[in-house]
Amino acid sequence: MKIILNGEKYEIENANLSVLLAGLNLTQDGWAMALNGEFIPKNKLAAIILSEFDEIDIVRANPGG
Amino acid sequence: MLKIENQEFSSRLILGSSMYKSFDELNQCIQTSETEILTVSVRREQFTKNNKHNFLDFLKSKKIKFMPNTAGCLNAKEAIQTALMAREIYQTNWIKLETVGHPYNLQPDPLALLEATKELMSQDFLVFPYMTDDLWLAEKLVNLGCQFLMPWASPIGSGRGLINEYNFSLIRKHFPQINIIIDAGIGRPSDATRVMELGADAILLNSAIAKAVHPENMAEAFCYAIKAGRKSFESGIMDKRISACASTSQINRPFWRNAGHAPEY
Repeated sequence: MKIILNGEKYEIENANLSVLLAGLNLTQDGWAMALNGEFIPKNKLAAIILSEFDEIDIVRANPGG
Repeated sequence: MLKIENQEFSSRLILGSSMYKSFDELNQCIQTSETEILTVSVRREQFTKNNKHNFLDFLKSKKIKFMPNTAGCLNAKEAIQTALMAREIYQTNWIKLETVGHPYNLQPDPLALLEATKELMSQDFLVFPYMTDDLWLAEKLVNLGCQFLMPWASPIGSGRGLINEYNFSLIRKHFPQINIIIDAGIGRPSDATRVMELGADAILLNSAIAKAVHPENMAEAFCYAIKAGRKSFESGIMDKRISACASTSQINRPFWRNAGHAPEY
């Protein structure tokens, strides 16, 4: 199944969001994510099943003015 | 002291963390500017790079308050969602709310700003709205409950200083109880001193320091300039006059003969 991860096409075999996130080797904290433009808090991630062409944004702390 | 919520800050300089050559350079600027508040952002994770970049670790090693921004957001929804992600990452309810309105001068979109401010305040954010120097907009934001306003001095990154003293002074005069933080457009320390003399409560700087030839020295220069401007504002500046007024008394001047009469030759 194809999804869009941070603006790029990305192929996944398992539609469970938790599986995707585990495979990305993210650290425990210091990141956050949005699904189709909506922020998803960490305590709600486990229940999410992805659909074809879902758009995921994963962000981190970055310098800014 | 600059008071935000229940915290007091001795520095009135808020420093942007972008565009420095290295974390070390940023660190030096934090020290020489004496800032206690650093603006930060959120950006997409770069999975292709082998840099689980440690900006958050760098920040955590500093005794400094974070002010996340929503830089680059093009509408209220993007700004709201970015703010929510920033809150989860930085664990703060502070948000420097930015909504880009025009691509040429990057002036904020006032309507999106109002919409996002209302929503974020309902979700317990402390909103620092980046805005044009517009009295009408300032009033709308204050009516929504904003305790802080962040009008620009001039377009971000332009280094032009305060281009509309009248507009700034109007906002200052109408909202004496509101903290006004000048954000964007300050280019040189004398620009900073000027807006502090006019009553700004603080200044947010990034480009003026990061783009200097010697950023750590410029950060120190801004530290002095902002302190000088604030001290000047608090000290009461003398009125301007058209005519001259000698500072040394004319009375008992040597060769002085009679007040009001010039010597005859």
